[in-house]
Parts: sequence; structure tokens; C-alpha cells
Amino acid sequence: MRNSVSVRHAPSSSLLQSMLGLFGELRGHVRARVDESAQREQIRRITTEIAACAQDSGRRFEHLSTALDPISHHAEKLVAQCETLLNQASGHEEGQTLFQSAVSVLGSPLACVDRYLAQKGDQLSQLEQAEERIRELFKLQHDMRSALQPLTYMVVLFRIESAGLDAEQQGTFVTVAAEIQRLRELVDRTFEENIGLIEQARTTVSTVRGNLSNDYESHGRFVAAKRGNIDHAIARLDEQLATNEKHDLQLREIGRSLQAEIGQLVLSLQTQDILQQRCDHIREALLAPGEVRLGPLAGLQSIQLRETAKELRDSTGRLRTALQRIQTLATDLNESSVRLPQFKSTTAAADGMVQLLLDTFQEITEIIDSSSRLSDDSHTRVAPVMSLARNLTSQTSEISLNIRMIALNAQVRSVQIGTGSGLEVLAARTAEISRQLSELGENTNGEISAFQASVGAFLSVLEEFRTASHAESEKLGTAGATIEQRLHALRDTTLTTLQAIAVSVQEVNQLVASGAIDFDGIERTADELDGLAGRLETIAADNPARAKDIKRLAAHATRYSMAAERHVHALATGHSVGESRVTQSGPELFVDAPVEELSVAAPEVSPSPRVAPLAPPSATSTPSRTAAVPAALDDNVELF
Amino acid sequence: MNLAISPASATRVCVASGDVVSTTIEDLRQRLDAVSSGAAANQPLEIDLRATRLIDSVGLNLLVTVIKREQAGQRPVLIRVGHASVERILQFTRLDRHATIRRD
Repeated sequence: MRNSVSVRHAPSSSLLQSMLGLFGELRGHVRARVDESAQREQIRRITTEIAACAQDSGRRFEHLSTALDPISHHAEKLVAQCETLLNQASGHEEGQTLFQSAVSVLGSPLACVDRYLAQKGDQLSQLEQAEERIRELFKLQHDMRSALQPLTYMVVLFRIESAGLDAEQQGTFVTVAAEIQRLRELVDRTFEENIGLIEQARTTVSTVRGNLSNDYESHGRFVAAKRGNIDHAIARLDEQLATNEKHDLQLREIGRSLQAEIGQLVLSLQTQDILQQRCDHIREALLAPGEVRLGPLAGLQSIQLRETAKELRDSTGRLRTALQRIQTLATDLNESSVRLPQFKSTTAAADGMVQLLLDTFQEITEIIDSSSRLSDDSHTRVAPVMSLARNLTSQTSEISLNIRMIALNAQVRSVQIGTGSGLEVLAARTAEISRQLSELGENTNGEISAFQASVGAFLSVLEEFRTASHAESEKLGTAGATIEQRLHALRDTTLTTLQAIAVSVQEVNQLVASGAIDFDGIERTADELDGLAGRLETIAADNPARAKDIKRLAAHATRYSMAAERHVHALATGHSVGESRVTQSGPELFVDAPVEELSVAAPEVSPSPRVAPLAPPSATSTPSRTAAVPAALDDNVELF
Repeated sequence: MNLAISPASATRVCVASGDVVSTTIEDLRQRLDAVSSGAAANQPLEIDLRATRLIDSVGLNLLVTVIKREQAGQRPVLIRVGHASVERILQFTRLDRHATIRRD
């Protein structure tokens, strides 16, 4: 439609006709003024409704923000919990040092038991040797008794030989016979005692040796198995820590994604500020007095309004997506954390590292205690055997001394009586028995010394282990208890984190399902903005833009403060505004406008098919729509 | 804490009346020791944790010990739980692979 007025130069006779024409033109101007006034009123109402929409949207966003805040909060907690789990699983925090400390504390008692077990061969050998010595002593006791056997008939012979002598000589023989008799009784008595004691010692040593042999065997098996488990677990732990990054990928990915979605939530919630500003700018532009004619102004702002509505919908879409993603990720995290393979070994699992160490602490404590008890018991039982040996030595010495005295006395008496009495023969025989007994006594003492050496060596090792095991038991009771507490605390932290994850996930799901999050209201606001844009487009259609409107719109565009607004403006008008540069195609306001006719720099747009008179952008259009290079602009151009 | 010892070969039942945590563990330990002593081979043990909302590491340790002991005697263990949190802990710690977990 052209606004130009054509004046036809009529002949003077047709002055009236000319006046009528002028009148018609005047009437047209008046009508136009009346129409413009009505449109201005219409625009005023539209701006009021835009303000109401912006206000309404503000309230809805505020409500949405309130509803999303706890979800965002729980999601952030989930990210933190996720990180905690990773640190626990990898041992970056307490785990690694704790496991090493635990192994260090366990190492000492295990080494103690190892040393004890390493000496088992020597210990059992010492007891075997002691048993062998006991057998020899037993035999020597019998030999001693056999050696003294002739003394029985020696007493009879002494009495027979002395029967024909005078009373004094007979008294001498009777005295020697009585001494021999006393020695016999002593030997018989001590023999019974010694045999009993030796038998008892043999039983004690044999029992202790059997118990220790079984104990060494069972403890050896247990310690070897336990040590194998610990070594394997430590190796597995080292391996896990070494390949930590690979194992953690899934959980880390979930954590990162959650953070990204939280960012999306926060970002999308900021749309309200942008919406408010854009609506304010649109309203200010529409209400600005006389800068630009209403038609082009309404056309341009309708595009801004549609873009604002579109941004609102996009924002809602992003919020919906972020919320769904958070829900999905939270569920994934919950399931993944329970299934995570690294937790099996490192933290809480029944067959995991913590449990293994706790079990080992308990079992090592039991080993140390039971070994300690056994060594105490062995010591208590074997120690008296040493005093038995001492008794045997003194008794043997006493018998040997006695027989030597008797023999000497008999020899002295026989010399006093003189040869031929027969007493010298008996004295010689007694001396021979004395020598035999002396020899047996020396052998007995040798065996007893060997026995004492074996038992002493055995008791010495036992004593050493008793001292060490008591010290280890004490250490386990202090350092071990602290480590156990820390192991429990580590597992409690993991369990608490997992419970917290489950609770957070539950909270997120409940919040999402509660219906407190209302996206529909915001989408209705977008629809209302689209409706208002449609009304602006109708006004624009009634008042097409002219070339001179471009310059005015260019000046008008300086009011924009946001890059998005400038972008839309540039795409719609072909003007770049301020620092904003058009870098992609978009909606087109003017067509066929030559660049040189524009008083502003042409935007940097990529060539694309022309879109002649552009329809208002659809709600689903994007800023990257195809734009046309501003082409020839006639004096009177249909803008829309 | 209640304890019911059934006749030989019948299921032994040990009921926890509350949380299984370090502060209450000794009572439960004694009762579980009591039901374990003299149990016949294959005689099932039921640990009723339906009133339990929380199990800590010490409580878990006790359960592991009891399950191992019962396994050594070839006696099956059933753990009844009433709360999701307890079930989750038992799953997380893989105790569900060593004992039957039933959610009531």
C-alpha cells in the first residue's frame, strides 16, 4: 500500500473537483490520525497486558524456584555424596592410610606368631631330646638297682663270715652289714620315688610335646591362611587403587552429569530476569513517543515478543529435561553405588577389606591369646621337671657317696682283722659295687645335665614367646582397638553416605511426583505473549513500514541492553546494533532493501533464500532461522 | 530383645527389638551366642530385624560373625527386615549372598 498522495492538475473549471480531492485527502489524513490514535490506545493496552504477563510469569517462576530449590539442594547433596563415596572407594581419604595402619598393627603380632612357629622344629626337638634323656635315666635307675642287687647276699655273707669271730670282730661285721642294709633300703625307696617322678616327667614332656605339635600345626595353618588372605587383599587393594580412575568412571560421570543438570536448573530459573527485562524493553519501545511509526514498531516488537515467548518455552523445556535427568541420574547413582565393585573389597562388604581386617584383628588376638595361654600352661607343666632333675642328681650323689663310705669302712675293718677272715673278700666286692655305682652316677648326672639343657632351652624359647606375646596382646588391645574403631567409623561413613543417597533419591522422586512443579502456568504465559505478539502483528499489517522507518528503527534499537535483543533486532531489520554482530541467520523484517540505502552497517549474515514478507516467527522457531541479505528497498514496502 | 529357642531341628528365632548398633550390641551378641550354642546341624536360625531401622558397622560385624558361624555348622540363616534402609545395608554389604533376606 502506498501512502503517497497523487495530485492531478485539473483545468480551472474543475477547481471544485480539486477542492473535493483535497478535502478527501484531508479526510484521509484525519481518518489516519483517528486510526493511529486507536492503534496507540490498542498498543497501550497491549503493553499493559505484557506487563501483567511479565508479573504473572515472575510469580510463577518464583513459585517454581521455590519448588525446585529442594530438588537442586538434594541434587547438590548427591554430587557431594557421590564424591564422598568415590574417595572412600579409592581410599583417597581415610581408607588407604587406615588399611596400611591396620596392616602395620597386624604385622607385629603376626611376625611374633611367625617367629614362634618358626621355632617349632627346635622346640619339639628339644622336648624329644628331653624324652630321650628321660628314657636313659629310667634305664640308668634300673641299672643302679641291678648294681646294688648283690648287696642283698653281701649282708648274709657278712653275717655268715662273722659268726666264728669274737664279739668285737663280729660287732664290726654287723655294723658294716647294717650300713649295707640301710643303703639298700635307701636305694629301694628312692628308686620307687625316682621311677615315679621320671615317669611323671616323661608323661608331662610327652603331653606338652603333643599339645604343642597340634597347636603349632593348627596355628601354622591358620596363620598361613590368614596371612595369605591379608596379602591377597592388600595386593587387591593396591591394584584397585592403581586402576582407580577406570573403576570410578561411572560414578564420576553421574556426578558430573548431576552438576551439569543442576547448572541447567539454575540457568533456566534465571530466564525470569531476562523475560522481565525483555518485556520492559518491548513496553518502553512501544510506548516511546513518536520515534517510529506504530506499524513498523509493532512489527519489530512482535518479533521480539515472539522470541521472548520462545525463550520462555525453551527455558521450560530445559527445566523439564534437567529435572527428568536429575531424577534418572539420582536413581542411577543409587543403583550404581550399591553395585560398585570397588566397595566390595574396600569398605563395607561382608567379604571386604574392612571386614577382613576386623576379622583378622579378632583372630590374631585369639591366636596370640591362645598361644600365650598354651605357652603359659606348657611352662607351668615343664618347669617342675627341672627340679626333678635336680633331685635325681642329689639322690644319686648321696647313694654313690654312701656306698663309697661303706666300701671304705669294710676295707679298713678287714685290714684290722687281718687276712683269712673272709672279710677282705667281701670288702673288695663292696668296693667293686661302689665303683659300678659311681660310674652309673656319673652317667646319670650326664643324662640329667643333657635333660636339663634340653628342657632349659625349651623353657627359654617359651619364656621369650610369653614375654613377646603378652606385649603383642597388650599392643593389640590398645593400637588394635583404635584401628578397629577407625575401621568401623570408615564403614559407618560409607553406610551413612549410601543411606543418605537413598534418602536424597527418594526425596527427589517424591518432590517430582508431588505436582508442586508447575510448568504449565509458564507455558500459558508464553501462549499469552504469543497472543499479544499476534495483535502487534495485526497493527503492523495495517501500517506497513517504509524505508525511512529503517533509520528510525536503527536509532530506536539502541535501547536494547541484551545481546539476544540486539541479535533479534539485527536479524529482523538488517542492522547490527552496538557490539552485537549478526553471526547467524534469523528472522527478516525487511526484504529487497539495498545495503547502500541503509544508513547502518549491514549485518554479517550468510547468504540464504529470501523470505518475503516475513510471517511472525512461530513459537517453535529458533534464532538460527534462515535470513536474507537486505536487498533493494523501495520507497513503500510491504513489511509483513 | 526377645529370644525364643524352639525345640531341636525347629527354627531358632532371635528377635531384635530395636537398632543394631554398638550401644546395644552386647545384649544381642549374648542372645545370638545362646541360640547358636548346642544348635543341631541344619537347624535354621531366624534373625528378626523388623523393628530395626539402623545397623552400624559394629552391628554388621556381629551379623557377619553369626552368619559365618552358622555357615560353618551348615545351618541356614534367614534375616527378616521391615525397613528399606536395613535391607539396603544388607544388600550393599553382600550379606544377601550369605543369608536369606526377607522384607516383611
